[in-house]
Amino acid sequence: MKYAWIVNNYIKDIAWKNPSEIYHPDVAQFYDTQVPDTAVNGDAWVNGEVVKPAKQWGATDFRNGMTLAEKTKWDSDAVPEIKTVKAELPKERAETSELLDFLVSVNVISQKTAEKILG
Amino acid sequence: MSNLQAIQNFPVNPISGTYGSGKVQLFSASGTFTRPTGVTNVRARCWGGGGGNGGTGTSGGGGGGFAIKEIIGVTATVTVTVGAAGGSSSFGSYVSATGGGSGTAGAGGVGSGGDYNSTGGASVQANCGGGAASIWGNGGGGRGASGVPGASGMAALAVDGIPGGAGLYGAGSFYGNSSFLNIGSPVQPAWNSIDFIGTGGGSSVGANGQNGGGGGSVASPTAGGYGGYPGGGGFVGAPGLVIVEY
Repeated sequence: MKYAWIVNNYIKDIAWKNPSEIYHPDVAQFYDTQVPDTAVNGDAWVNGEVVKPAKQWGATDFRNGMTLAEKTKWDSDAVPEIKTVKAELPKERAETSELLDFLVSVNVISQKTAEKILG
Repeated sequence: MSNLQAIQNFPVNPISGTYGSGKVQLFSASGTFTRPTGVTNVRARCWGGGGGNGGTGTSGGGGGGFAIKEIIGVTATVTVTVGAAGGSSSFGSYVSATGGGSGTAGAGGVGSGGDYNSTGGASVQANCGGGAASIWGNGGGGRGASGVPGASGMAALAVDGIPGGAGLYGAGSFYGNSSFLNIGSPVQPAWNSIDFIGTGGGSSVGANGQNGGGGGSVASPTAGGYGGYPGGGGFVGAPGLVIVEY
């Protein structure tokens, strides 16, 4: 177990050692919640349990899954729809799936690429 | 961190002056300070990590706090903690600086236990990160989505009344640019004085911070928004830093 500083039900920071030994007392007092060793900064803390944030897909995730030809279109904003999608990112799985379907429909990427990006 | 090491050759500090023998030890990661033979007193500076996005759209985060303290009769070893984004940095229990809060309206971190403490700039508006605090005063707030300059450093003005700096594409920065319109990795300035570290201001939209300046994100996390090292808030907050002089 480690001690964490919780703010608004999120783990702001985790102490790597006993907080009273490594922080000034005015700061150590905030590290008052014991969390599992698997917890990391940014995790949600709900009812005494760690909740990992949902995966989000960003522009880099999209690009990494594309073929060279698709990357060329993506990088040059070859069609207006690409800019629209970029402005929407990052998104979680369901919305990412919709955006990928949209890109397939306007022939920016193939269905195979869409499936590869979504994983 | 080669630029960090370079400041060991320039221990001239306009506010704090040269301390002890002029030697410095820098911690960009957590570790242990071992008191050198013949040394009894040290001066430690801490910058907390800059706050990050926090999963709230394109928000930036608050800048990290700052504290500086002279320690008379330091213990033989001291645990040094360097905060990641949003995390606290500390020189043992002697002196600490907390990290900036995450997301829009993320508060700046604060210094604790120092002979002088200052507060990081808040992320006042969406897309904008606050600047890190420094020995010059509080960090500038991050604001400017519609071209409005960032708020200047908050109440406490340091030695000369010079705030951490307002922010609009670099305005208000005391040393180097607080932020710059460039897409890519943040750039670390060539520091030549410890006192000038972390004096970047708050940021506007689409800028990466520099030297503690806030970073302002745009719609995508791959397009700007990195807080300037050390302690700048942004879509991706910059880590903290600890420096020990002896």
